[in-house]
Amino acid sequence: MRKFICLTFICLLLAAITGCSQIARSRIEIDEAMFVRVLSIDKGENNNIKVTLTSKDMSSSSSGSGQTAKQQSYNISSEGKTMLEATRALWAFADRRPYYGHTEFILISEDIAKEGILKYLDYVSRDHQFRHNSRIYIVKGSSASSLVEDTHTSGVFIGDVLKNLENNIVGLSISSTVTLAEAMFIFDNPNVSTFIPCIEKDIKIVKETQAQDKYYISIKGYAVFKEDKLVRYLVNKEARGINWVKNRITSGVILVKGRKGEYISLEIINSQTKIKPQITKDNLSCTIRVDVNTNIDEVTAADDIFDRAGIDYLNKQQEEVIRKEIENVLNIAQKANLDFFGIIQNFHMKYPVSWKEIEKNWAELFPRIKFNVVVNSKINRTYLIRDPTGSTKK
Amino acid sequence: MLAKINQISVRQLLCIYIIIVLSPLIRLVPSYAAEYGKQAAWLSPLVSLLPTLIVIYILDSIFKRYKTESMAQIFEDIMSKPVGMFIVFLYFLWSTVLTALYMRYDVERLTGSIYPNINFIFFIIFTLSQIAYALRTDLTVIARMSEVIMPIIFILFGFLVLLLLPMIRHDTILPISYTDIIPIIKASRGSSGIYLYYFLLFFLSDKLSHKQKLKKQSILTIIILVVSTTIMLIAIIGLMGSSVVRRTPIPFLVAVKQISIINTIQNIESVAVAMWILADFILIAALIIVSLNIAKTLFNLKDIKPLQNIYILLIYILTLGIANNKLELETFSQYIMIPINLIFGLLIPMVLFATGKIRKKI
Repeated sequence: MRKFICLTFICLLLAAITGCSQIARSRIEIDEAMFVRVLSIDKGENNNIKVTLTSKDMSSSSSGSGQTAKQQSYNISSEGKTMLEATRALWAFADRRPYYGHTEFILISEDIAKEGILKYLDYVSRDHQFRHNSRIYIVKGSSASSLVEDTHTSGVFIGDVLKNLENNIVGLSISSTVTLAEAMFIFDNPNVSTFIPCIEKDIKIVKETQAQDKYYISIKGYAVFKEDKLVRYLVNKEARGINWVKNRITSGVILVKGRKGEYISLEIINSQTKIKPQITKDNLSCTIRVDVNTNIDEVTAADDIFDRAGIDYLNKQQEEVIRKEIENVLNIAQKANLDFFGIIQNFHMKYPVSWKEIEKNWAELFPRIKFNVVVNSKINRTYLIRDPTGSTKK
Repeated sequence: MLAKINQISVRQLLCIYIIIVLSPLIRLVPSYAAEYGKQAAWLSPLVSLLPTLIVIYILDSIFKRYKTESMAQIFEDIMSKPVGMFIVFLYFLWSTVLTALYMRYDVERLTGSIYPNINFIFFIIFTLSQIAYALRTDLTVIARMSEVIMPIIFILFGFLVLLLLPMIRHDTILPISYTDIIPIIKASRGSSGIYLYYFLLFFLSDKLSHKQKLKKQSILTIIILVVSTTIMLIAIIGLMGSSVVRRTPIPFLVAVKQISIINTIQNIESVAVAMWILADFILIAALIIVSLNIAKTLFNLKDIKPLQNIYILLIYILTLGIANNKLELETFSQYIMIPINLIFGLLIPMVLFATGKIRKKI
């Protein structure tokens, strides 16, 4: 009987604790929480930090007619001297309490990035609700809040748009994702510069029915940092150059010209990059070897290019295009003395004993490294037809 | 069959051992090892194998001679009564401080990770009341509970580590060269200090049966623990990098927070927290039993039950007073408790063994 009374008392006590708002002050009901998916950081007024939180507006996700409703973004902004002050200021007027455990994207404006981003990343890496696998983006050319507010998303939630862009960008290989954890690790290394993907407002859409201009978002490349400050952007082919070196190429289009000057589109199927550092008599050199496989996906002329000489010619063209992309971005890195490829880590890997000496003088050594770019390309096949339509007439 | 009804087997004791070391291993070892061993830190548990094996061999030799005595009685017999009593008293202090330390870590982890605005006294009272209730019975209850909980915790731990492994980067755990030997040895102090709790548990040796299986089962246990710790370090340092892990108070939790299975199953850190709460419950309960068993010999008591609630009250007060905040607690743990663990877990057993050999008691 005594045990029964004890157990009953414990069960009642446990049940009562669930509503114990005095003990569990951080307790929050699910319908009272704002699940932040995108966190935008901008410069505010009077040197303040402006924080914009974006969540999916769940109220518009159901419709009575049974059709799929448009899922709009719910944005809310506030300012403060620090990140915490700015985010807490929201509590004064937000109808729901922000919860950051689902924050997938951290958007940082160009202005902030130019001044240094570490003090902003400290909050998101320190606060217990955030996750270190949130992806970071630098917003090029506009404020981060305007990007989430003025973006045409065809009724799709901005967080989902960004996720789709990440999935689609593999088809171009001009960008990739950088998580908070990766950024923190690279920022810890004083000899390595960081690159973080950049997004921007792209094509303007003008519709009479809309009260304000709307834009598409595009991911076009990387923002390159010296220490924690943005120094320049590398977009399109330059960004792909980074991806060749960093072995982050997944797919993409290589445009080459055939023997008669016609354009031929080659689709990258896979690529493998190996970096071999070497030290000879105090001289540092590095061989970057790229093995790439492509398929012919488009031929803009009626000539038959599928003979041995034709394929060899395309292979050479293709190797030249890739080599130029890599050499161009290596030149940029060496001129600016920014090792955003992490070449020093390759030297550390191969020469762990003499690395300490290299590390000390890396700023002087990196611009003088002789890079040798070797590209081995292989065109495997074409797809549903071989000779171009019309080639039989000749 | 167990010799007496209130005895536990070596296997059960090793189950308790695995649980009680798992919690501090996950909490302390990644950041401690990353601090000293950098990218080579994951090799440090292999070095810790050696001191633990030494202690296993020492205990095996001792128990060949002393079959039914408690460790406190063995100390008195080998090192003379006054010296033995003094050393046993030091062990009592050590285990008491450890209990308060782990009680405080348990609540600090909860308030530092998922319940930041809750007064930690609430968690201390809640946990200690449950432990007091569980200890109304006997060590055998905790032993049987450990037998059930240990596989669950181990499977959960393995599952989480397995999910982390595909995310690791090779440049965060390589290269390894001979220049890393000294850093690895320094880094191994953390894991050694925790593996060496092994000796402390043998203050329950009077409640232990099947001691003839001690060496074989202990070696197997320590190998399992070393392999698990190594894989955990590869996963955590491989994912976050040693420079980040070094700065993170709870790196395992931060790593688990990053797990995402096909972009669908995420936010599974609650599994790690639940695992930790279970492990800490056994850890604190086992340390209280060890302390009370030492006190029994020390004060020549027939029964320790009347002392139990008073001792738990003492632990409550010590938990509150052991540190002002988490930063003090971490400093205390890292710079004071690790060397003390090495002294009590390795050095004193070695002295005991040497004295026993000289005095031909072993």
